[in-house]
Amino acid sequence: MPQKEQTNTSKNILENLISIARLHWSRELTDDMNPQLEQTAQNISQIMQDIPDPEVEP
Amino acid sequence: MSNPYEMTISETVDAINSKNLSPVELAESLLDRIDRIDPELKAWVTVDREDVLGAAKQCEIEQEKGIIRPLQGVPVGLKDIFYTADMRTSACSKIFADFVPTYDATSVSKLKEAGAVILGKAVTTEFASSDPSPAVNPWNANHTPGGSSSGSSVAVATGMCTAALGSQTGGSTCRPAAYNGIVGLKPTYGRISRHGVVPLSWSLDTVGILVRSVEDAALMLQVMSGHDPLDPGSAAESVPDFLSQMRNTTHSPVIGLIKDYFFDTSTQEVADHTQGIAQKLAQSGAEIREISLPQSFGSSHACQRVVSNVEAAAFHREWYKDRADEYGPKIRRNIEMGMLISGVDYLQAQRLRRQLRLDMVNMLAGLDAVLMPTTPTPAPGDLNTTGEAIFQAPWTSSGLPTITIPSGLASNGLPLGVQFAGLPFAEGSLLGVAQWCERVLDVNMWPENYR
Repeated sequence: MPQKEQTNTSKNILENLISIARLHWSRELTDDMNPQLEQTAQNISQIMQDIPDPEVEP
Repeated sequence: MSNPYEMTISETVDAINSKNLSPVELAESLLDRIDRIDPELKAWVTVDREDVLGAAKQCEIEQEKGIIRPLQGVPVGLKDIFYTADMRTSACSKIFADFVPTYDATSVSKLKEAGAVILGKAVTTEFASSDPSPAVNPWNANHTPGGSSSGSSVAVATGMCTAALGSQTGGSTCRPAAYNGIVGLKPTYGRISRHGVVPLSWSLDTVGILVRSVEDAALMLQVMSGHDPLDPGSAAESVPDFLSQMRNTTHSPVIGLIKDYFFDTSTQEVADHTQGIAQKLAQSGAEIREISLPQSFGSSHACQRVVSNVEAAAFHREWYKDRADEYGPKIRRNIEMGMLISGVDYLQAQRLRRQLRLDMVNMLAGLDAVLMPTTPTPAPGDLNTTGEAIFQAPWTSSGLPTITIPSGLASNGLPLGVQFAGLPFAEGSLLGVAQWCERVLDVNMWPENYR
């Protein structure tokens, strides 16, 4: 995936994660989670980038 | 004869079987050693002197009758996530603070059947995650002993027990083993039952072995391996004679050296050290082939973290609902992240893990093992961390077996290790390669203040 597209994907994932986190927890607690949310967004972005062969099952 | 606390499992068993060492005297000497040095090192949570001496006395009665068992009288420590009947198993957490199991973990039962004397429960990071434990690195108290099997590693490194059990979900066996200058074995996923082990992540958790020699790792693996219907992740694979397979590896091994990622991510000192080890092995007859990692390696860390967090969240959800504040900050955040990850992303991570395993197996074709540094640096001088698990996580994620052996000291006096990985369920040949290298390198280290 081109670099810019990946960055955008990671940013979009982070925004989604923050939205869901705010449904669970207070804004203050969610703000405290920001480093872990960023890491999780990067992890998910990486996973979305590396698509396994179609026949590979979990 | 060496001091009892310095003896390996095989030396201990030989001494007991030849009646040159009494199991009770051995247990007493280690209990005294724990009393003397553990107040500084903080490696143990629970040691029940009466229980230990009772079990040792039983071994002595058997010794007098000439009964020989593979681990007769060998004192073993257990990471405090292994269930022990009538003995507290707290996972070093507030949540499990008063939990006393009614049965032993399958691995613990097998150790007892083999004659081992359970010395006690060793300190772990909370729930085997990444909040640092109070255990102290015996090489330098200002550096982390690693985690999560920190107490088990410190106890073996300082001769407070002859062997110990740990576990690995990311890097929790081989990393603390390297930081403390001992041997650590993470077998193939499914080789040793996790029934009766407090889980962190069901599809990653693997029972680990912490010892002072490769042969000792084989002895421990032999008695604990095998299918257990009580563990859904347990493999039906038959259990070979690991010792014979290890000893039959008399040829000079063909070893793949992985430089990309493992050298790039290490300090120059660690990269140079590992290169030097490879040269030494080559000079002794090993064939060293530089190899490259598969593309799927790139997402292996992401997959490991996503899967680990989701499964930890699933296990802890009920406790978390009411007792979130009782968790340490790092395990708590991991649980919270796991709650946010979608089912699709979790399953995609699991699919990528399957791809990684296939690719790693292909990478090992024609090789006896692959070699890399165990850790990118020696134990970090930051007690807020347990160090980096990045050189273990891909192997844990793909389920392949790994072993670390001590390989020398860094310029700051801390231990370094090299790690070998092999094919799934081929621990015998992996142990054979590791023992061949152990003999070539001839490194046996002991922290000076605890000799």
